[in-house]
Amino acid sequence: MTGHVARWKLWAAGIALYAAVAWWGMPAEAEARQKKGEEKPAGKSGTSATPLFYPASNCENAGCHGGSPPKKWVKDKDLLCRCTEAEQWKTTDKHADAYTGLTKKLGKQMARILGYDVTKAKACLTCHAVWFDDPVVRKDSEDVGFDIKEGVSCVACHGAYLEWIGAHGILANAGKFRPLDRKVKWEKYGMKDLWDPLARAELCTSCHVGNAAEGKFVTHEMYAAGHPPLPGFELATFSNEMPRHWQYLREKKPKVAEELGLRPGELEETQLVLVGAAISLRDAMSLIADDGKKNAALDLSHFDCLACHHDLKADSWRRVRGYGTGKPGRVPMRPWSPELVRLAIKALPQASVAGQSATFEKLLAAVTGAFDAQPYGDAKTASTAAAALARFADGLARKLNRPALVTRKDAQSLLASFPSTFQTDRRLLDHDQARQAAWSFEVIHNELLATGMRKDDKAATALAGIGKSLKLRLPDKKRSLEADYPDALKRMNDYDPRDNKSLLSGLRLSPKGE
Amino acid sequence: MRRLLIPASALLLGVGLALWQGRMHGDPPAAGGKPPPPDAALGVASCASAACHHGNGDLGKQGSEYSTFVAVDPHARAFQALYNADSKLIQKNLGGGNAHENPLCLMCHGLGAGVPQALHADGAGCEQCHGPAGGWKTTHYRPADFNRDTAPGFRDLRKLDVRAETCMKCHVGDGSREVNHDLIAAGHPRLKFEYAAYYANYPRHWTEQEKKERALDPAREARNWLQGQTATAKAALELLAVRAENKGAPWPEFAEHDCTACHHGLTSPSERQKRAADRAEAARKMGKTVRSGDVPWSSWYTGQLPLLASRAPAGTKARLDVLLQQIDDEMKERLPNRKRVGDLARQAAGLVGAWSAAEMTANLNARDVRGLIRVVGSNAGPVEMGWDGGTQAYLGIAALNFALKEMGDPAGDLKLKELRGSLRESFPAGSRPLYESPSKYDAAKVFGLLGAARMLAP
Repeated sequence: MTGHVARWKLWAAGIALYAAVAWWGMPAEAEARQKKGEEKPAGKSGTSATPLFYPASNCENAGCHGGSPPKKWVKDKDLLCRCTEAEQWKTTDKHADAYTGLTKKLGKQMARILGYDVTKAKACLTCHAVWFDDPVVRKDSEDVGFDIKEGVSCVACHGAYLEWIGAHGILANAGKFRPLDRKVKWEKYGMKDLWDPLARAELCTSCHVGNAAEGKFVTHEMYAAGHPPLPGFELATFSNEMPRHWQYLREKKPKVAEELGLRPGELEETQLVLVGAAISLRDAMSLIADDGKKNAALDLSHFDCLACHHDLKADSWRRVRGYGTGKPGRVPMRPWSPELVRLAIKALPQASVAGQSATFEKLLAAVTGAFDAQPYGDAKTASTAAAALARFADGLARKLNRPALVTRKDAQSLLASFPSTFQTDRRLLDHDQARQAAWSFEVIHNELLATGMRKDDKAATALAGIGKSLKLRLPDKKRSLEADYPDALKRMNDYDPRDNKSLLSGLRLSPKGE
Repeated sequence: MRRLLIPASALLLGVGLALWQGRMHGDPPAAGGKPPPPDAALGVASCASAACHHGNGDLGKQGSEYSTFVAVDPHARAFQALYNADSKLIQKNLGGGNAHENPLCLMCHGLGAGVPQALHADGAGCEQCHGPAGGWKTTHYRPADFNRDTAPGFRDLRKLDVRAETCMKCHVGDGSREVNHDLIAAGHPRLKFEYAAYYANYPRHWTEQEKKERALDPAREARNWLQGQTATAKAALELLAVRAENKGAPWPEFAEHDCTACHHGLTSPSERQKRAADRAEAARKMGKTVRSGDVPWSSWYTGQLPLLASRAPAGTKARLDVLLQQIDDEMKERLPNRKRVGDLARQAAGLVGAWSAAEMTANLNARDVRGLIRVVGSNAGPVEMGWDGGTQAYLGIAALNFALKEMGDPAGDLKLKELRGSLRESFPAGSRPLYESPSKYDAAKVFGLLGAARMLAP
């Protein structure tokens, strides 16, 4: 009977293992260990936890986040999560394909043009997977099974640190860990607070807009080599269409929602739109500020792609639209990032809206003026102006990041005054600007509907029309990005705002709400 | 007899007085009795008397130059164009006002600067090309009093180099007038001048003169092309220098670049990127650094020169090749160095100018022309880069082909019809070619069609 181990031995081993892991992972012990010899200041990252990249395969266990939620977890409490997240991520989320994309046709072409291995370069991996600044961390991570092919995996967003994994994932610890303040969970254990709209926004925009400090910057050279143009980013829409593997708090059991801090009538998606708008602008401007400070000329990626990259047409909508206060023939800044801030400002307390709006338009005019001042812009002036606008956007984000700031009435009023916010009657919005406006309307409108608002047929019809015309849905995993891409480019090239003007103007909620 | 004395004397006196007055003053004196200054434009109407240039004879006949101009010459309608919808749009984008009152427009679409508004109405009139007539109008029909070389303000268009340069003022641009990218973005079509092609299509008002010139030079069409290419390139290089040196002008000037280098719709897969990948790998093998996403200098004006430069005065080719490459390299920078570009452009313009002068009298027989056709047909670089290169190649071969016919040595079928068709079809159906991107340009097809030229027997 070789190969058959005695049952008692198995039990003993199991208990020993359990005890060892429990000790290792226990919050108090982790703290003590840190205090003993590994006392690290929080530093730039904001946490003192130990960097470590657990693989997604670690999270995918049945009974954890791979499906089959455990029947018993923290005593007397419902499960916080759905426990299907990792499985959903693996099967439906495009982030899981981010690394493999580097090995496909476009990635190969880029490698040939740029002259480096895109599957190994920081410029690529820092967004398409993870980048290790510290080879020791890389070695340690590989020792626990890290695989770069997992792309943008769980810990890339949720916190690539050691301590919180055991703290939340082992039943003995979970009870103590769960009630901790979210701030503490991040600062001490390295678990990113993704319930906080601002923290989530800046995590997403670090890749989807860019972050100079982290080396996350898609340059024009990369675009010329074949990188798809980064689309204008809208936080709530992009989150929904990952597709999201988490629930909104309102979708959870009432006790859990309360535990996680949901206020009655809180509009989570609307808040994501507004905070996301401010952070998108902040990060777009920070990139300009950094680039203009370091270099004599701004990288072309800060400019409006389509201002140059369109087939010239005799009946040119750009000429008809005119160039505003700018000069014809100058390359303007990429126009999508300031667009939704106009909406976000309107969500502030009534008394401050006019003042904030005036300040915003003044700061924005300074940036666009620097872009128009000469062909390719005045880098130094643009840098200073962009830095100022970034500071404004950051302040705006923090003002908006208050729970339940926007009531249902406020949200309806935002939608009712949509045309005046975006001046859709007077302006010709380009492809990216129009998508920003349409997405934001869609998210807020759908959240109000989902939480009980009566249907507004006109608004719904306009939304359906603009959704089709602008193709608001993002490509899903079943159709690879490479399949959708040629059509997307053609749509951008052919887009004529004059075709959509009445549809965009129709995006408004009728004054009589619910 | 005595009866006739008084009438005869009166008659003699009258005739004497008339002759004396005519000799001294010619036309009735201008207001104040002073002749107009030499740089004064007098306006088309002052040339257009029936006894002078408005004879209403056959088109192009001597004495009917104005009749021809007003009937068929596009220059006559240049001012009216300032009233059309395109001009209104341009002026709106420039900040309002009227195009027909904008000095910027009137420099080319009227009679130029410092001219009373009424005189612009006849368009790019006589004096735009022949020079302001104030200093020679009353003398140019009196051989004893008129010297073509020294008459103040007079442009001697019988000299072929002066004739070519005259067109360049407006059709390429100079220090006092240009169509830059600001103006193009506002709505103006791009300038795309090729001398021999424009000349061939121009409804001339000097057909007898032209016949004389062609009789003296059977290679006339080929010479027009060679001289036109060099003169146009010289004007373009001088314009580049002016733009670089003018601190008040936008810099870099986007109109110096190939339009479609930027203005192409993004596609996937992208032929452009495929070519870039091949080029990048080849360049790296040769140890060169590669940067993608740069905007190359336009090849429209100078793309043919390197292949033709062996005809230039000794030492030109080597220096010109280097200069043109250096200009292209500097113009690819995001912020090209103004001084460097200005210096390089002026040096290149000097070389090309001397070459252009040499082409006026250079030997040019049928064998030479056949050689030129082969050379133009093999100019792969510009043809691959875009529609501009393909079109210049086609126009060159068309001109040279016509020359061979005139010289009695026809070349046979050079696929000109197919080339023209392919270049036309590069634009989407129903488009206005000067305003739109040749997005369907097929470089491989065009280069293939040029094979007939490449294979032309010596």
